[in-house]
Amino acid sequence: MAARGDPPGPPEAAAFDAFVREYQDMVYGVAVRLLANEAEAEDVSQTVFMRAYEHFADVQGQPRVPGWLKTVTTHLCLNHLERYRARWRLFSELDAADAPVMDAASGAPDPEATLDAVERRARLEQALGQLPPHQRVPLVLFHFEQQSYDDIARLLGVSVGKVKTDMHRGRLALRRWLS
Amino acid sequence: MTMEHDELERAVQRALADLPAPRAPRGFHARVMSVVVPAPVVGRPWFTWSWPMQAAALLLVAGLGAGGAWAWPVLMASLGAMVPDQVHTGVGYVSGAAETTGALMRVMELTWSAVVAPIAKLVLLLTAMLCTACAVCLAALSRVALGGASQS
Repeated sequence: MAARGDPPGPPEAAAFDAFVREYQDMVYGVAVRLLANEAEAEDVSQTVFMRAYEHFADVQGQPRVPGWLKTVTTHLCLNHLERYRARWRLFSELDAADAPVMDAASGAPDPEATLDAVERRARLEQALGQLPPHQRVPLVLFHFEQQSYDDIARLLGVSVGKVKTDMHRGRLALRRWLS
Repeated sequence: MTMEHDELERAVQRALADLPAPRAPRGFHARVMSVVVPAPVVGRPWFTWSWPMQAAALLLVAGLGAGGAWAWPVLMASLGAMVPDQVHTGVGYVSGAAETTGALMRVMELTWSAVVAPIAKLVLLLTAMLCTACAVCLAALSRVALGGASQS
């Protein structure tokens, strides 16, 4: 087995190839929902696999690999949001508590009763992506990654109350696209 | 209010659970592998090799060229001397072909000594200089332009 930090040799390169094929959808899925940007999600996902490659001798074949990958992806996405979107105050407690509820699809027409399930899902996905990050990120972590309010608050460095308020506003914005 | 909040949470949970999982783009796997696992040296362009490998490759090519230039007349002379022996000891029907081959060898030897040999060293030197110049230019280009872009 290679020492920690050693680049994998040819046999391990083949194993890493299979590793990427197995987990690329999962990693990319987490990243694209947290970032709501395909190009940025690709960049972050690539960085995740570079990290995995550096520790491949340790993580290969471990049952905790999916959890480890999701954790790394989440942290990198949050770092990315903080670093490259400085103008947006990520999870500021100063965010106006009485701000009007954000309607992510305010520019879109009202959903018709005849909207089919596929289109409704597409609209919902689009609306989720258009939510401001401080609403979208906790929603994604809660509903897709099954993290608790406490864990999300700890991860984001904000209060549980702030998390619940942001998530409720996000849900209200998505409500019109619920079937 | 609490009831409405819980109902909304459950409704969002159901709706989001119905969303299809995003799939990685088609070229993502290749992109990751090309960045993470470097291609074997033999499969990479010469100008991406490390400088000792580049120098060794240049020396090898120059050595092969010089060796070929030095050995070619000797080889031709040896072949020319061998062909008549084979003709003498071989069966009759080969003799015609052997004589033709011998004549061809002599023509090639004459061509070498009269035309190629005088300029071979010059061509070899020119080729080596051009290769070196190209290597220096490509190395500088990859450091200044391509290297900077790939690091961002």
